[in-house]
Amino acid sequence: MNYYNPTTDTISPLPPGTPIGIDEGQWEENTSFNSGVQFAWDATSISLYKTCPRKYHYTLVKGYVPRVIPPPLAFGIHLHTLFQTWHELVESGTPKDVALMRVTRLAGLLGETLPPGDTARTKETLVRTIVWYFDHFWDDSAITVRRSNGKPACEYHFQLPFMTYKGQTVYICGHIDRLVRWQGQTFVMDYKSTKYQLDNRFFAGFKPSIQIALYVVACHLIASSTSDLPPANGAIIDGIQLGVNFSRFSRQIIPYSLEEINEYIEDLQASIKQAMDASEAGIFIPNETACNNYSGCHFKDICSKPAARRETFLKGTFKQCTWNPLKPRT
Amino acid sequence: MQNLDELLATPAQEWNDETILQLISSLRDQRERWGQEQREGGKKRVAAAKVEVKPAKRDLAFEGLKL
Repeated sequence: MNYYNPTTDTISPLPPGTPIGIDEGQWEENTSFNSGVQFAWDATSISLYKTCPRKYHYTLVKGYVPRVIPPPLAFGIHLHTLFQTWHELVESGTPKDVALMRVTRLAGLLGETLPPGDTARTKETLVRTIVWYFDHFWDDSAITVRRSNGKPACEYHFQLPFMTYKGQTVYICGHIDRLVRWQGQTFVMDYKSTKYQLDNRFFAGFKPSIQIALYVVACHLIASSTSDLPPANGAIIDGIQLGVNFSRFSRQIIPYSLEEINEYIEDLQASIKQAMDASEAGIFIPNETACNNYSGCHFKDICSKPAARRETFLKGTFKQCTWNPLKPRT
Repeated sequence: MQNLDELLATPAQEWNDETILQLISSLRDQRERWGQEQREGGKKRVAAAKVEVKPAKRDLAFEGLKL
């Protein structure tokens, strides 16, 4: 894999730089587990467990993932990389004009690594979306918050003690794209792309939301412990609609009150305890009501096989890599 | 004359500053035409193949890009 260095505008076969492609990592020891029980939880792990304990077991505990990354996931990862690159360049003093040229080049390079089969998620869509987005928000009134050390609050990895389970400290982890000040308030900002319309139904999908609530909770915990970040009043979602020939943008605030945050903390602690109890007992009961969600669970065929043959089919159909919430993104 | 679709199809490794300026400029043309269609309530698609690529200028007259 090659690397693009946006600071020097060069491509090289070695880091530093942004990997041109998706580095999924290898199957290695997962340090977020202790004796087979996960003790560091992020939104992905919690969502997986709540969706279907067996899906959580296959994905997180055993590490089985599809051999080819689904186009929406690959596109989303690339889009986040491009936004991250933009903010890093602009926050380090690179003129916006130059930053735009660098992210356009990177969009082209990353676009060529997208899996085929989705006409709304192509190299063209990626390059067009990035240029149109930065035109749309050229003079963005959402200003990046500065951390207590003066650095911009972008790509903020957190790992916070959240509760104890049988004497073991349990952590919540995650990755906040960007924290912004907007109209006198602080918000966690996240980018979400879709092929569908950016209507009320789309934005309603972010409340309740495990991921967004977790980030807002994290800001509150950080604010009360280290003051590195201010407490957040909610989230701002930048919705990005992907068409074959157009990209459309819409921004919406998702407020979270203190009362809602406190309720979420209690619910989250109960969910994590439930998941840890199940892991300790080695019982991962499938949730059949989730099998046909969206375009269908990718483990549906596996679950349809006799229990004794599932492992063989898993090995033959999927690859293994480790999802470790303790690892910051590189 | 080359169109935006053809320009986007060239390998990104080969893009130089000139190419990227042309790309940005053409994508902005496409956005303007698409916005116009939306305002007029038209349903016409503005495909990249219908957007002509013009020679890159350093004094691009659109907002933001001042090289």
